[in-house]
Amino acid sequence: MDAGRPTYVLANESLKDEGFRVGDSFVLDGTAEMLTIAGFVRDQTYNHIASVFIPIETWRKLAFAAPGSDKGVRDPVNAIMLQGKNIDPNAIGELLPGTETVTRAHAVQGISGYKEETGTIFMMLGFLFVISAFIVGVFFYVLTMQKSNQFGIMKAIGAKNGFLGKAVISQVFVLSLASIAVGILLTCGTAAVLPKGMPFRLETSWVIVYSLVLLAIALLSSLVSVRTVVKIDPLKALGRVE
Amino acid sequence: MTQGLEMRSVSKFYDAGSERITALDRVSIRVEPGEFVAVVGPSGSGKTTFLSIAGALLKPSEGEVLLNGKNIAELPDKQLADIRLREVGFIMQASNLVPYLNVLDQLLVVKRMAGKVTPADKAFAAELLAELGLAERMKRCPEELSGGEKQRVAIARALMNDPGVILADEPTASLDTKRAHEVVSLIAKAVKTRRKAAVMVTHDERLLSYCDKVYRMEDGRLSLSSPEPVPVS
Repeated sequence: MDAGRPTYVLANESLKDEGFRVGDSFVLDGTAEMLTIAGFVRDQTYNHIASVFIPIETWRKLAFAAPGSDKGVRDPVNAIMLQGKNIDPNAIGELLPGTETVTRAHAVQGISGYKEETGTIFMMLGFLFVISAFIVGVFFYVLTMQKSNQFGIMKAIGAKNGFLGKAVISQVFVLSLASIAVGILLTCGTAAVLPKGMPFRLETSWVIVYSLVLLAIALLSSLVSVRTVVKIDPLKALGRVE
Repeated sequence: MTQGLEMRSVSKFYDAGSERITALDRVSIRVEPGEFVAVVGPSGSGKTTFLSIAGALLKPSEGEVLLNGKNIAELPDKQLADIRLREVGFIMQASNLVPYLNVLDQLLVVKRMAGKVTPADKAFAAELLAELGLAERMKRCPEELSGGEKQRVAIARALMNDPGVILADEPTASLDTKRAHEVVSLIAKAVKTRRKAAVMVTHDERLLSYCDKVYRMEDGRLSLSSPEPVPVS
């Protein structure tokens, strides 16, 4: 992309899937300018639609094609991005009257539909965690209940609550760890076969964080089972209580 | 030296509505180390309550329970678990083994509860099992064992922590006559050679000949039914 070739642009690589190659030309809807793909960029979309980066002069020509649409502003720009450390948006905002200064995160939140979409996804995530807490808790509770007679025997021959509680929690830990590992493998497998156009990316850091959260949830919900074990009466082991 | 089991006028009451049910009525008994005592009586007479109190599973309403010279009647639950672990060996009705542990582990889990399993514990467990004729069965799970073998494992487990007192709750309930004799004679032998104070609660009158004394339980009262020791047949 350079000033000498004002109609050469960079496009998001998802256009490749639609058959575009470097050197191909296209015309944007509602414009007359022919644009040529000079290269591809990765993960640059707006509302899940491929973005195209073009020289600012060309952009002005396209965006303000209708006479007077630039409201008389000379060389209009939409936004100026600053990259670096220790940038204080408030200080800059005070120095530039008539403009709006926001952080990048804030600007992203302002994209129409972004908040709603991510909100929905995070709500689903949140509910999944709540639901998994219940399912895992009930699963281990049922396992514990089925073994309540054996816990009674163990108590009768002298097992302390601490011993049995530790046994339950360590078993839940091992089972959860193994099933989370299987879950991660399945997720990676699914991610591998998802269509390319799907806006889905598996970040290692998120996988780790969610795995830990899930493990913590499993251990917390196993406390319900531990409580049941504590309540089991060792007298049960003698068969009947007179 | 262990001092066996002693109960001094132990009573147990249950409140059922406005009524007060007396499950045990001033029961006194003394079982010396090396003595094998049977308690017989109809169901509902308080045998299980008696055994539960003797085995630190239940606290008496009144009276003293001395296990190895220590009064356990007033101890909190947590210490009672410890007493059960160290001072009492329970032989329960058949099939009260942990299903997914093999025979050797059934014994070692007792040691695990008390702390660590040492090589000496393993050797002791193997010795006990060999003594009870289970040397070949050490790696089997309970479901692969016959009823008599299961009860022999239960005997070995009861002896594992070298307790002062052995308590058996209907140990022959699901066994045929031959197996029942086998199991009770093994208990009697272990009690004699290892100097344990043993109490067996049973319905089974056929087996009383193995016991030194027979007590009869009726409506919560315990009385000696054969003052003279019965010779072991």
